[in-house]
Amino acid sequence: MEKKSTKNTGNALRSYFSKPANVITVVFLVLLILAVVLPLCTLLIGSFKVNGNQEAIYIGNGAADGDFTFHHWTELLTSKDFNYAEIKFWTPLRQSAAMALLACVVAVGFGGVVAWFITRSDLPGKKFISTVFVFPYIMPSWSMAMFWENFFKNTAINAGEGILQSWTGICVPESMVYGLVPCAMSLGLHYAPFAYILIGGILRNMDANLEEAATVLKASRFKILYKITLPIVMPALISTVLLVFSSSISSFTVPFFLNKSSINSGNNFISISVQMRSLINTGFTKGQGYVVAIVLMVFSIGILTLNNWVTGSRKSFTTVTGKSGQVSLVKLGKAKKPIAIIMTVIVAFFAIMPLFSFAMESVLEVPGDWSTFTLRYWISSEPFEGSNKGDTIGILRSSIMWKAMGRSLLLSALVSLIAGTFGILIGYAVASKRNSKAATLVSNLAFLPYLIPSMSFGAVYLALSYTKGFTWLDGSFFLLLLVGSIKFMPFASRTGTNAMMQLSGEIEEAAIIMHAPWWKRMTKILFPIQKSSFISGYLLPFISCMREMSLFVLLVISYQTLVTTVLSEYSRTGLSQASNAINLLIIVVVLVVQFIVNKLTGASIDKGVGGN
Amino acid sequence: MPKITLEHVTKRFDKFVAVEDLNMVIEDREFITLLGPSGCGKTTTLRMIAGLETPTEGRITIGDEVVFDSEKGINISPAKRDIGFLFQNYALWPHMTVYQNIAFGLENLKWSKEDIRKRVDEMLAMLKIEQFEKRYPSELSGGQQQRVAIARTLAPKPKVLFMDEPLSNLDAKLRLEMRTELKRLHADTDSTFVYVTHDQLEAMTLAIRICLMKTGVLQQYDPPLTVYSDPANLFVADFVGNPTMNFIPATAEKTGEKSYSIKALGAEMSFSSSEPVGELSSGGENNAVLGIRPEFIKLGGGKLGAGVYATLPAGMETTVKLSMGDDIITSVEFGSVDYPLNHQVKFDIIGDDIILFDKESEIKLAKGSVAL
Amino acid sequence: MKKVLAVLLAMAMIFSLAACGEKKEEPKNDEPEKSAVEQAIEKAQAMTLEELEAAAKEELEANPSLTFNADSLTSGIKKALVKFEEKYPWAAGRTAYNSKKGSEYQPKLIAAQKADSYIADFVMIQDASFLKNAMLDTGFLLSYVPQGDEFNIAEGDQVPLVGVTFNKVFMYDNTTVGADQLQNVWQMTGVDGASLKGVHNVSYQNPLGEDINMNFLIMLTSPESCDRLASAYKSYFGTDYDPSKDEVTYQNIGYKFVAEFIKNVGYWHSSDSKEIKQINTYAEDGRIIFAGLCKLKDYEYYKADYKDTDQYYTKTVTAAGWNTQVEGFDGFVYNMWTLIPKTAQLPYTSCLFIRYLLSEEGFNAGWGGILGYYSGNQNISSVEGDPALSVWKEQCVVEDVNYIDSSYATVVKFINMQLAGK
Repeated sequence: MEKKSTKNTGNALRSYFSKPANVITVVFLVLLILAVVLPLCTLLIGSFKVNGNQEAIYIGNGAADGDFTFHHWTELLTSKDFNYAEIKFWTPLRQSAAMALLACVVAVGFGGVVAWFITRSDLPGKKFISTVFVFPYIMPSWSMAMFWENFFKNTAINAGEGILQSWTGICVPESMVYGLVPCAMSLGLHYAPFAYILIGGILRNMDANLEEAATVLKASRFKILYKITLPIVMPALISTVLLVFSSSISSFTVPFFLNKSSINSGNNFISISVQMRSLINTGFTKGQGYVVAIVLMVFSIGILTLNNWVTGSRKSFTTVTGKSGQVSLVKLGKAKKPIAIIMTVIVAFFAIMPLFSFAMESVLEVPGDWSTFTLRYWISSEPFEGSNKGDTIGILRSSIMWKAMGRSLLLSALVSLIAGTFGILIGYAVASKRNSKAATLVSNLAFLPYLIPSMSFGAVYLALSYTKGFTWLDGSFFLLLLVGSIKFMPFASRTGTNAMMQLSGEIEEAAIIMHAPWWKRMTKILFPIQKSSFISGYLLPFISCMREMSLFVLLVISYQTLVTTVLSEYSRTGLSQASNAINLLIIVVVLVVQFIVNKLTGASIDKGVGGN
Repeated sequence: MPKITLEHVTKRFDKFVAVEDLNMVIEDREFITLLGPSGCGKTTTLRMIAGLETPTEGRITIGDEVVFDSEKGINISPAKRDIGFLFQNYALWPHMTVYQNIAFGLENLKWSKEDIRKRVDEMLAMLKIEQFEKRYPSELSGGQQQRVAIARTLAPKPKVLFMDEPLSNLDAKLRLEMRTELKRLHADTDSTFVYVTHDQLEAMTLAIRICLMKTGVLQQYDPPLTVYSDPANLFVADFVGNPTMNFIPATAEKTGEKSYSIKALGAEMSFSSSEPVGELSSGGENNAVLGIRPEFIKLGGGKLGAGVYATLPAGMETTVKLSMGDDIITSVEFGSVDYPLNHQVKFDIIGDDIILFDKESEIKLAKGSVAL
Repeated sequence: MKKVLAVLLAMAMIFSLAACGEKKEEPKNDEPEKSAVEQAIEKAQAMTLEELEAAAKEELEANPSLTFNADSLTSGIKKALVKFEEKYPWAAGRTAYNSKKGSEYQPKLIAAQKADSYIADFVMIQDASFLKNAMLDTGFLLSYVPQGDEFNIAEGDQVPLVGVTFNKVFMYDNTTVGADQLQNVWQMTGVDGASLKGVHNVSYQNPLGEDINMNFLIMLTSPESCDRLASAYKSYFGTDYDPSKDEVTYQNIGYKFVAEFIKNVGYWHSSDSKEIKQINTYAEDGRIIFAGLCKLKDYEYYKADYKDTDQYYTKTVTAAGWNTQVEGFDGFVYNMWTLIPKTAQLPYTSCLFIRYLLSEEGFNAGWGGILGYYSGNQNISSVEGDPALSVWKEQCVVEDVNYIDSSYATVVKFINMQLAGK
């Protein structure tokens, strides 16, 4: 190799770039390095320097803004002052890791079981379960937390009467209402649809012969599940665990919301993300906050590496080979009806009750008091105190809200198009170059944006938009689009990769031989085969983008830009009923969009799973 | 026209060498099988010629066109090589009907609608799958899927057709049937066929020439009967033929330009060939292996004697296993014969196709006849 | 070779990024020359109202493409802008209000300051330490002080200019528990007392999520607060505080109070507003809620009864009244400053708007008639039923940037330890 002349190198390059997968790899490598490594480096650099005068004061010893320092690391990881390192970092890290793991177990367990029933059994009522099951994911994560509190809180723990208590008189202990377990449950339930989508996608395409072969060999059902099914869904499982773990451990709203235990109860749980937020938001300790962000990222990268190691070439398997087998459903027999009923009740409970509580909060002047029922937060055209032109108390009458909704829809649609397409392309590159380090790197880089805290991510692009030469970005729609597309690419790239990995290379090769150019192979062969999975890859960024707030809040010019910022404006003005109404409206809009997509393409976020 | 030439083709995956310095010429309209045990590089070779895999080094020419040259950086895409490829798993597109699967390649060649219709109908008829036109692959049996795959591959009339163990997913009866069909197809289509298999019988029956490979290295590239009767080395001799050739440890000494004296099976014999014979790499005990096809062990008379170890009648022929000291010798008799166990029989080594291999290098030294 | 290429590419990116990052921090303004905005403010300072109005009008007319952007945490600015446009028809349709939470707005300010780029024409922010260290010391935010008889601004409130002062106090619904529930702050440390409902009945916003609540706790350890706490201690327990009797060694009585207070918090609420809205549901147990006094405006319980009277807030306070004479302190007083960024594009309009805000008319436009808002202009009195700001300052702990800066590192660690219950 070394002795080759430059001409040969040129030829080698030309030949390298004649393959679309290589072009994609290189393009995305550059793009992602720019888009992802930039914020990453900012964080890294920030953790080693004095960020502003307040930090200089905190550090003391004549430190000045911009100086290089190890202080953030040593302080947060080792300071024994008031047991600082242990209390501010290590304990929350351990507790949050425990919470995130528990959330993974809940999400994978609940989502996985539902996915199995939907794809592999003859359970009745699949359509309903499958449609409704994804609701919790469409809702903001804290809405499940809010519902959890409203449901379980009770007077025995000094928190007012909750639904459970008013129905049954049962008072659950505080640790069931606030703290680690409820946080994990809320997050787990919120992300269960995610597990359902990823695992279900694989299960649906899995050759039933694989399981049947084991049945013939007299393996017990449990053994089949454990020895055959589980290893086959392992990549999806690990993808899920990865996403749920990283989301949960860095989730701020849920722990903040369900973190109301009294200190004396011994049930107090302060999550690492709450610590990170408090560190970053205070001028004195930004650098320490960056340290936490980096540690969380290292954690997730660890899981990623594990993921790559487990699903490496050693176990690379494909399920769609073009040799089609018959899919047979497991007969549930007598258990069919009871399981269907239980399943429907549980799924509906967690999907519809939170929606109901939103609706309720939006029509009651005083929470919980039905005598104060009013529709004015929906339909009143009165302006509220200090409203801008177009702002009305009733959200449905507010032209500002509708314009913002329109912009949010447009933004989310474009973000989902870009992120989804990028996801498919990355999936294609990774799948066609299974053993290539560059492709793996691209896949991992595409996942990183997920791990960077939204606020820091936004802040980096904010700083960029203030930099000379980039000021045209400031406040522009393009900036929101850019940031959104990158931030939500991980969902799409994971689904894209999973779907592409399932296709055997021969499926594409057969088309290559048939003179099909690359774009035709993508649009006529690969995309249609895995259509439902890919559409999930488009819908997930759409949903996330529709309800995203903290990522965009720094980048929008005014609160009128996006529907979520309008929402927070209502809530800041004290019109929490109206903000609940907007929340409900966002969910409804997402559901409608999903429905339309479903009608147009025959695929939907849950359909990726649900059979025919 | 499409003569395929491979020159010094090498393929490495990281450190693992899949194909090493392969040179071969596939003549126009030949039917070649790439034969070898799994992992020998035969599929990789096929995929390299087809353009689905990029060789690490070397040069591949199809017809007059250089399709790959590592030196010059030429790498023509598979689509432009005018080839067909039949995959082991068929790789039918599950979202397309049988018709759409077959028509897809023709659409890409910008054929007119009528021509496509005509050609697809032709293919459907040729492969007797007319009634499945509107079905999806998942609604077909394995054999039917196979036929669709063949139809799809042949529809654009490729000059060269590559097949990667296309029959391995079929049952024995269907496989036999499809073999016949393939041979007919070869005659009917004027195309060059390159066929990968690990089944030596399939290779023998189908091919005009067999390319036998082992761990990435070409062992022998000859017509089936040559491979059978004149194997280049122990590996080839062992791989081809069923029941396998008898390998008898022997001590040989070169006695002339075209002869050896041999000690084997407890007897002294002389080996003579019509060609000049090779040099033994060492002297001493057991420096050679005598290779005798079972049909050259003639039972019922002769100077050698052994006990019957087992008799395996198969109707048309009978395989008799003989025990002689530590060695088990296989003999094939035409028709049905039966011997009681441990019955003592006399036998002789007949024919001109007895091979002597060098023990150390495993290379064939000579082909000839033995006389006791 | 591909790999090498990729790695090289990545390295090059990182280095160029690092280089970019460094460049930005080079100090640029060592020249003593004053910026255009500084000069404009200086001129405005000397103008009469009429002159300033003319200057602002001229400025807006000269720049027809520009909008007067006002960034603020409080929606009062939004209301004030509406009235401002009514008062000055030439500004109609030329103003915009943008609201951001503090934690969301600070990064934006920092980015604008670092890049020396435009962010807004008017900024209203809280957090004394951030303001001083990141915004004033870097010279990014400037003060215009309105002059004239109608303005009576305390000297300490002039530069930086305090726009509105807020307070967070301990509130509870006294309809059941009686007006005298909370007499002394030491009740809230969980010490016994049969008649007291302060035990585990305090509701406080998590200081890890709310800076004001953190700053309050920090300020409790200041010498001044210690004096307040010591005298309240004596009055409550009848003896002087004796550190030697404590099992734990506290740095001062403030630390002791913080530790015991945190331990006694029975409920950590996540939104002042929400908690206040439900205050009547806690009438029975008399939960003590630490929240912004102004959040009472969200308390709808008595709205039906008093909606049509202009005494709504007064009535609310009387009905859900509480003791404003707690021994020790009633709560916490902190400021929101009204300032002009160095990069403002319409500085005269900024000055005029600030002048307007500090006038009685402007204050009433934004916050008039609501308790819990106090103008930096001492000539403007608080609403009926609400004590004057001077009284609150007497009765409350006041945010002090110097103390927060000097003690932050230590006190916050201590507070974290208490929050962890260890």
